[in-house]
Amino acid sequence: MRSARQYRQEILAALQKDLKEELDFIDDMASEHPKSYQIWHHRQIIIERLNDPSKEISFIDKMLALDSKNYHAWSYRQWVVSTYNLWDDEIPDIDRLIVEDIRNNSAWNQRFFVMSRRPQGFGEDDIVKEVSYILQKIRLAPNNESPWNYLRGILEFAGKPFDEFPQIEDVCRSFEAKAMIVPHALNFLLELNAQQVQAGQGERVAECEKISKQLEEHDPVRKLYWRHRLEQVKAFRN
Amino acid sequence: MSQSLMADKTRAVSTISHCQNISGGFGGGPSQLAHLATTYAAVNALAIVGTKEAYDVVDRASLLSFFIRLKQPDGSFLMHDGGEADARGTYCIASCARLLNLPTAQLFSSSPEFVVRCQSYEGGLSGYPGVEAHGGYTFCALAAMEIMQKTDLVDLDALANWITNRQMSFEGGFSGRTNKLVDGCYSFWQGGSMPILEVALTRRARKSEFNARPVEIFNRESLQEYILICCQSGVGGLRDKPSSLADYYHSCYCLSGLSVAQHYYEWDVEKQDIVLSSKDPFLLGSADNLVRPSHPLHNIRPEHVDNIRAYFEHGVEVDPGEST
Repeated sequence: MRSARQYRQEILAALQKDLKEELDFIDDMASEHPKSYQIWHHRQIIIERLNDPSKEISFIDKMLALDSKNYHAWSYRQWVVSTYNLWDDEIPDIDRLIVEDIRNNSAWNQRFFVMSRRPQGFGEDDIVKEVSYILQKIRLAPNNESPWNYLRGILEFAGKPFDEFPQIEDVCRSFEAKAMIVPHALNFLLELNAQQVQAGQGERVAECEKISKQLEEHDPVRKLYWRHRLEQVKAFRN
Repeated sequence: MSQSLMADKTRAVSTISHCQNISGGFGGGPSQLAHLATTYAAVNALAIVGTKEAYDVVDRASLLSFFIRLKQPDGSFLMHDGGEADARGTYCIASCARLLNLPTAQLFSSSPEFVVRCQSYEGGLSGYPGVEAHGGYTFCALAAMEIMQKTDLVDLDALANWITNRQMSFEGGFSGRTNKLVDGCYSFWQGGSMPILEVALTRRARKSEFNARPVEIFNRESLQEYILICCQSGVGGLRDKPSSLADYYHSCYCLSGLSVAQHYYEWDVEKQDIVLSSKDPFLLGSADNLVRPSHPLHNIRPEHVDNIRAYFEHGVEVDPGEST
């Protein structure tokens, strides 16, 4: 048994139809059904046959303009970028999306995808630049979780402990000075101190206790999780 | 069992049997193309019916050949012949294979490695390596890893950090991804991952400390509040959020999430399974709000899991009156 889409692919091949016309057809269908798995996969197969991705990024951008977090669009974009080696223009495009919506986590995820997989690798200069980029975005909207998660991810990817860049801790501490409670900043500090406990600095447990108390108070929906984290930290010390 | 329920079961078995493809697997309707999501749903539905007639609908030999046919070199599975591959496929196959006692050693070679590659820098898992962490795929990936007995390959601490942060401070329900809105269905996709994760974290803690307390990491009360207060539609059924209409999908996954939020689970060493704990349910509101427990790996009642597994493991006959 075959799906209608597979029949269509066979007919297109048998009749030697112009596949660029098929892309126009998919453009229309995708705008109507942007969350259909089948349409995106069909497009991938047509592009593989054409071996021409020149219209793809603009097509995806058009779809992202309708829904900037469309999971299929982003997944397809990663396939296009990595299959056809289109890494160079990705960062400016991602920057534009992050400027449009600083909370667009799909764009942040794409940033990680590019940084961690582009052929030129990710060196010492890159991590310094990324940390400065992230801190600038965090200052704009401290309660935005996306750059915090990206910060943890990129530090781990670069193999850096969380206390490698003192400016990060400075930013985390700056909120306290302004009497602002930022749970994501506290979570980062908790992790930073936990790493230090794990590295043998047992006296940092007291700081972890202080931070997790603050988190329990100011982020009560996650009370059980913060208690669990503290228990883990104490187990490191033992 | 009442006459009408028996008649419903007979009809259900008949309908599902017409969805089975000769070349293996079940489609979404009679004579439709087999797909892993509908195969998972069909096998679960037959397990819920729970009669010998229901179990015997499944052609296990052709089903296994269907699964093998979908396997990709990277360890993932296509969702259907000629279809796309993602972490849903691994779960659908793992769940069916466990209920039907299919041989899996070869089927799952390199599958755990594929799933692990789906864990994103945020700690949650995605449909495909590189893509954004997402609640639906996280449940599929984690449940699949638990069934394949490879849960410890997942970075459980990173996952715990991401998934607990998906519970919304104000609403109490879960969102599917970072900075997305609450949706009742994630009560199960995120909430349903919780008992699996809590059991795995407890199991790990007990390796070094025999008596370690059961790990608890999510807010059962807030989740029940969101489901009971915000997700019930005045005209019946459950929904994404108050501005949405109720549908079957959200009714299923809001109620499944409610069950997860009420019951506690633990690892049973002898049974090598996640079982209901002896701890009393955590119940918000009146006793009428209590729903039945559901097996965290299959999302059907634990006794339905036990019965179908016993049937295919030992050829145990079932009493059709027993599982209503």
